[in-house]
Order: sequence, then structure tokens, then C-alpha cells
Amino acid sequence: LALPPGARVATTADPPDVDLIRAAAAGERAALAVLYDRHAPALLALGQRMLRSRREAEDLLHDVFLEVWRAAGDHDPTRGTVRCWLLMRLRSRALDRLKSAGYARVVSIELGGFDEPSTAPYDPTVSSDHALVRRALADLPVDQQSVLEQAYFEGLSLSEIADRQGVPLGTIKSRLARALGRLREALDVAGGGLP
Amino acid sequence: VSTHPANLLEHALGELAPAAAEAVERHAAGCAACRGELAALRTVLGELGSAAPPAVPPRRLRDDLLGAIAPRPTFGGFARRFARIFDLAEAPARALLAGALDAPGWEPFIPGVGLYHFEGGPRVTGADSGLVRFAAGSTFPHHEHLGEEVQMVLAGSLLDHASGKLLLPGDILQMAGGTSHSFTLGRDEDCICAVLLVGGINIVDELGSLRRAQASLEPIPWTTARSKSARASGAPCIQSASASPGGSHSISASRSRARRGSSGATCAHRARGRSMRPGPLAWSRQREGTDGAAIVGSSGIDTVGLLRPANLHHRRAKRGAPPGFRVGGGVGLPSAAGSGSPRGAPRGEARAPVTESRALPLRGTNPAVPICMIGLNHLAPRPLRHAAPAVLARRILAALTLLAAAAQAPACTIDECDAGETRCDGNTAMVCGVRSSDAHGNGNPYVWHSTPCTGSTACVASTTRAFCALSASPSEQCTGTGERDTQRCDGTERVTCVAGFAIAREACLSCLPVPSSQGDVECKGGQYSVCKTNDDCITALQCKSYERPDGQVDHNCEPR
Repeated sequence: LALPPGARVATTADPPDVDLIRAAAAGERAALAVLYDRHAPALLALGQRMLRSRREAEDLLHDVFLEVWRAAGDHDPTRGTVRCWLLMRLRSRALDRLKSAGYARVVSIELGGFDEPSTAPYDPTVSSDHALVRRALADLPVDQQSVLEQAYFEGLSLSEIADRQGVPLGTIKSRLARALGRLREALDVAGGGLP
Repeated sequence: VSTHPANLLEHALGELAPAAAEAVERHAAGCAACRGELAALRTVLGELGSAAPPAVPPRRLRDDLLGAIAPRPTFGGFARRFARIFDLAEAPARALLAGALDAPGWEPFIPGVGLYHFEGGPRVTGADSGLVRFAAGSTFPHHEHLGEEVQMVLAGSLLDHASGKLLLPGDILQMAGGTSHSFTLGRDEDCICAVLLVGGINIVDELGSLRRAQASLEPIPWTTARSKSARASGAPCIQSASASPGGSHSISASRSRARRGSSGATCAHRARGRSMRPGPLAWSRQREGTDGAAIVGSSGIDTVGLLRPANLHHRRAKRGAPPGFRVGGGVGLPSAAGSGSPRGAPRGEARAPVTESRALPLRGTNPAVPICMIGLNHLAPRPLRHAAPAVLARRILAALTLLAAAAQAPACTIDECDAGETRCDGNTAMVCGVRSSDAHGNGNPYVWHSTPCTGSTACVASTTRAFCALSASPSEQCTGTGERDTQRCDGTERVTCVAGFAIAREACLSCLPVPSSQGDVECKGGQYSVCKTNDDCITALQCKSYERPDGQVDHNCEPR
């Protein structure tokens, strides 16, 4: 059976990310290649979303994976999954670029931005995660979506968001906390149970 | 009164100044609740990043990345053959190969193709000697060889369209003057070839017109005025290669390789119709075919010799090739001469007495086919049976890669769907994903993608995804798992679960949950794990590397 171009078949032999990152830390190029194949589409999409430039996002993706290759040993599984580690690392570097390059921080707060056409191969894992997150986001109230958008994708500080929206800082904090709380529930992410 | 920091969220977002962030980390180091909370926040924030529809990076980006982290190849394994082809001593050949990729002096030829010229030995004066780097996945256009060419693959792979043969590192493709072909490069990595070219090439562009490429190849900075003059006048650059120490040794070595079924030379010699351009450089040839014939230069030079045409002779080898040994040039070529005999080499000639020695005709008609291919993969079937599993696997993988590259034609029909749709179609998992090309042209980026559940796996459709489960029944170990991949331990096995079903099992030396992670379990001794000792390596399941006592990772933990 012919698979569509770019199709990826999830096999029962797919190693978990945590093993791959350890293997990459041990110098296994093939492991990094698997990680790249698995997560680059999501990372590139995030880069595009934040930088608003395909070319800049591709450069960023390359730099982040080079950084991952050099610092794979830094990943601590107790601090989160490899996937999240990669995404947060890319987000952090994207914010660095936004600040250093003087990118205009004018981004629509509409989450319709997530629907921008893109090209992606089939990856059951990515596809299902993408669907879950999208649904969870769509279920949030608009005011929580906007805080999340500005804090996460635009890298605005909470006080900057408060200034922009003209509401007290405490309100922004509580909206963000509620948004993340609902996302945690939707994504079934257990927490540490702070009193 | 809670002593937990109030700025965990800001810290997870990366907003805190270094000092404040450090304070939070210090606190979290001694506070399990805060560690867990931070991990959860990071997970949610990380997942938020996957809200955007995934975007396919261009292939070159992956290649660039893997190229950037690749150890620089030295091609040391090819140094001896390389030295023979370019008439160099082995040591300088080795040094040249080791440093060439990083050397200045690479120049563009046509898009996707870079050239690096170097100076060959005296016997190849007048020919272009160089390395050529072809971009992975590209196709080198149809071109005509004005003279002869020897092309040895150093890295990557190359699919020759004229013969249908796949060339891998170490393989050699020889083209006669007047022949033409095109080829596609493997997609996994750039293809690097060592090329010895006589007379240049003419490239036929897409419009069918000839583009004189020779001019681009001609400026050979190291070519001496003498050799250029010799070429222009049509006089031989090198006289009869009577002085060729080691020639007979080379032939013996070649026979030895052939007996082993290894990568011995198996040139099919075009006895008729070979054209020599002015600047009469010719390869001496050797041939070991089913009838044991060999053709060599009168001097006995091995792979390469620069001879007067009149000095090119053939003689019969004393020893026949092993049964089942096929000759490269005759394999898979659209042969008018029939199979079983090297293409263009009449059986009558091959059966000539050992003592016969006569000049070969060097002019005449020239069917545009390669006359000689040397390499392990052209010696089917015996060499393949004797090839190491790793070699076989590499070849099969490369062949599949090239086949995939050749099969890039867009699908005839694409079923559109809506994001999030998923179902089982018989025993095929169907998931609606983003298309990989703009086949619709109607703005809907989503198409069905199918994953056939092979073997004993069964398609299961949960709320958000269809997938192939190891069994059609829920797995006890996967009880309570959600829609996302979750790992559990089943004794020493690691089980990957989705919605209560097991989708993968992996044998480990030991399986333990990773503290505070989101469902990850650690499979010690698994395929990608690093073992503690070499003994573990030996007994571990699929373990590839281990930590030496000095803390370094040894990647050669093969069972003793």
C-alpha cells in the first residue's frame, strides 16, 4: 500500500522520546533524527506562529535542534516531557529573537490564527495532540484565550498585558491561572497539588 | 501560612529575572509539591505550543541539521582505490580525501552541484580530476560524455537511469565517450563522488537543447601548459603505459576479489564502438565475466591507464569467474547483445585463446549505454548472499529511499476530511491530517491518511484517534489510559498504551516509571538506552552503547 507523500507510519518499534534524548546525549545522530522527524513540524509551526516568518522559523528550528544536540544531556525527565522541553526551548529562543530583532508585537488575539494553512505530514501523535489542544483552547473564554495568546506567543509580560488590556494585573494573573488550569484538566496533566 | 513561592507561573513562562528564577528553583529543589506543579505548568505550556497546525520543514533543513552534526567523513576506506584511479600515492590520496570537504576551492557547477578540483598523478594529466558534490534528492540532468569518465561514489547514493543500477559508497560507474545518461541522488545525504573526466560533458537541458558544460569544467588550474598543449594537438598526454609497476598485482587482486564475490572489478567492455575524442586518453580495462575473460591494457595497468588506443589490448584470464557471477555491465542494461555476456563484448572475443593479443577497435557506432559498472551491488546474486547483514540492510534502505524518491508523483485522488476526524476503515487506521501538498487547491488543508494495521495488529478507533493496537481487546496494563500515548511497565517490558489498548511493547532489562514525568517509563537496556557496562551491553536487549568507567560512552558495545 502506498502512503501519501510525507506520510509517517507509527510503528510499534517507535522509541519513546526520553530514550531518544538520552541516546542523542550519547552522540547518537539517528536518535536526534527521529526526534526531529517527530517534533519538527510542531516546532516549526510554533516558530512560524511566533515569528510570523517562515524563513525565520526555519532558521530558528535549525538553531534549536543544534542546541538540543549539544545540550540533550540537560533534559531532566522530572521537569517535563521531551516534547514540552523542545517546545518551550523553541519558544524561549523565539522570544529572544522577537526582542532582539525588534519584531512588531502586533498579533491578532484571535485564536483563528491557529488555522493558518500549513503543510504537514501525517503523524498520528502530532495530529491527535494538535486536536486535543485545539479543542481545549477553543473551549476557553475569549478573555482567557487572549491572555494566553499574549503571554505565550507574543511573550508579553503579565504587566504588559495588563497595560494593553487596561485591566488590573491581578485580573490578568487570575485569568491566566484559570486558563492554564482548564487546559491542565483538558489535557489530563496532573500537578504537584500545591496546598 | 504557605511558604510556596507565588510566582511559579511567571517562572514557568520564563518571565522572572535570573535571581528570582534561581530562588524559585532553589525552593522547588526541596519541595516536591512545587516541583510537580512546575512540571505540570511546563507540560501545559509546552503542549500549548502544539496548538498551531504542524508545518512540514523542507527536506534540506533536515539534511542541513544532520550534516551539521555529522562527523566529517575521511573516506579513508576508499583511499587505495581512489589513489589507483587518480594515479596518486596512497598517503596524499588519503590526506586529500580527509580534507577535501572542508577545503576552500569548492565551486558551483550547476544548481545543486559543487566541484572541487585537484591534481591527479602523471598518468591522468589532461583529464579533469575532482570531487563532485550532488545535493541529496536531486537529479543530474541528461548529459552526453564527450570522453570517458570514471565516477566513484564516496558518500550517499546514486541511481543511474541508463542502467537502473544503484551505486553506493565504493561503487564505480564508468562511462564511455559518446554515451549519455542521467541519474538521481539519494535523499538521505548529499552524494559525493570522485570523478575523473576526459573531454567534458554536454548537458541536455529540459528544452532538449545542448548546453556546453565542458567550458565550466575545463578551467583546471593545475593542468600544465604542456598537457593542455598536448590535448589541443591531439597528441597523447602519456605515452604507452609500459611503466606500470604493480599492474599485474592489481589484476591478481581483482581476481581474488572476484573469487570472494566481493567488490571486484567486473567491467563489461564495449569491444566495438568506443570512440576516443582528440586527446587520446583511454582507460585500460579489465573484465572478468562468466567466461573468465579479462581485458586489460597491454601494460597490465589496473583500473586506470592512459594508453594510446593502439595499445589497448585484451587477453584472456586464466581463471574463470565463479558460477552465478554476473557481469555488471551486462546486468540490467537494455542489451541487444543478450544476457550472459558482457554487453558489447562478443562471446567470440571472450573465448579467444589466452595468448591472443590484439588491438581493439576504438571507433565506430556508440550506443549510449554505460559500458562498465563496478561494485558489490552489481554482482548479484552471490555477493549479496555473502554480504554482511549490515551491508545488506544499508543497501536495502538506500534502495527503498531511492524508490521513495522516484515515487514522488502526487496521489491520483485525495479524500478530503475535516480536522479531528478519525475512523477505522476495515483494518486501516484513518486519521484526518494536514495535507503535504496543495493538491486540492480549494483551501481545505485536510486529507485522510491511512495506516494499515499489519500483522496481528488491529485498528481501534477511540474518541480522537484511530490507531493500530497490538490486540483488538483492551490491555490490562493499559487500564485507565487516555487518548495520548502513555507508557506503562509490564514486568520488564515497556507497554505504550492509548485509550486502554496496547500499541507497542518493548523488551527492556528493567522497566521503571520516571518520577514526576507525564507517563514516561524508563526502559533500561532498550534500543536507545545507554548501558552501564559492556556486560550489560552483551546481555541487554538491543542495547547499542555503554558507559565506560571514565564516563565516556562507547558506541561499540557489540557482544563479544
